Amino acid sequence: MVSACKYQSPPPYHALWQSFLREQKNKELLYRYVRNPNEQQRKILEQTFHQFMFERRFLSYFSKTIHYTAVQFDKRERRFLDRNQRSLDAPTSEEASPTEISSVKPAHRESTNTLGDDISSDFLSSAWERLTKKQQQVLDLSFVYGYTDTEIGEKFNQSQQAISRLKQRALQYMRHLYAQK
Amino acid sequence: MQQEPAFTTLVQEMQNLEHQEQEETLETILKRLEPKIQQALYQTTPDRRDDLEQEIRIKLMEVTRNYQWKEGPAIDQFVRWE
Repeated sequence: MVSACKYQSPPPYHALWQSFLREQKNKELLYRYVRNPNEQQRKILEQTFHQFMFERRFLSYFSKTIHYTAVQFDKRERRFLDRNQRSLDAPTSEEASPTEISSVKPAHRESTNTLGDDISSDFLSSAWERLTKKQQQVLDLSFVYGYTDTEIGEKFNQSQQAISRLKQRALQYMRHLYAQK
Repeated sequence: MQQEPAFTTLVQEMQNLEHQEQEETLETILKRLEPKIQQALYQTTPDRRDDLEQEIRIKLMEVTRNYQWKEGPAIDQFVRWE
């Protein structure tokens, strides 16, 4: 019994299947199965194809992993430098005299180190006070303690994205106040 | 497949072994990916390349350990009998 065999019109793995068949020995496997369609031939063909498919999958998966790890690595590096620069530029707590310490003190935190304490400009401390408690906490954790957004998110039971947005909005708000000054 | 062992076999091997015994298999995988890794190192500055290489290796190890297998498509989907 000779059967003609064609590809189905839009199958999901079509391109992969075609490149699979571009190899002569795979083609022969297919022909052998078509000429003599039994369970054993089908298994061989299927196994060879799956191996071919996973090989491709792994290769692209691994390459992508390598690529993105490298990109992420640099990003993290830059962020780290950026952040540390900022904390070096920031005035230390000894520099701020007691009279200038803002009255903001989040009550339920273990440590009382807060950005509010370090602010020496009147304008900034009034802007700081107009932020919500949560925003102040997040900014403290991020800039004073150097936590990542993800870690802060875990503390507050929120996603990293939410924290990032909250932080951005707080900074934006302060910039906005500054522009209006 | 050819002279090199296939990724499929290697990853399966990785997942069947205890963590301490995976070293050799992992080494084979990394060796196959070596050119790609080296290429990726140019992404960063020369003095950070060693760190990045280590980072990539760790990541690849995690990725192979945690790989979730999915079923491949049935072969009959590609063959239409007439």
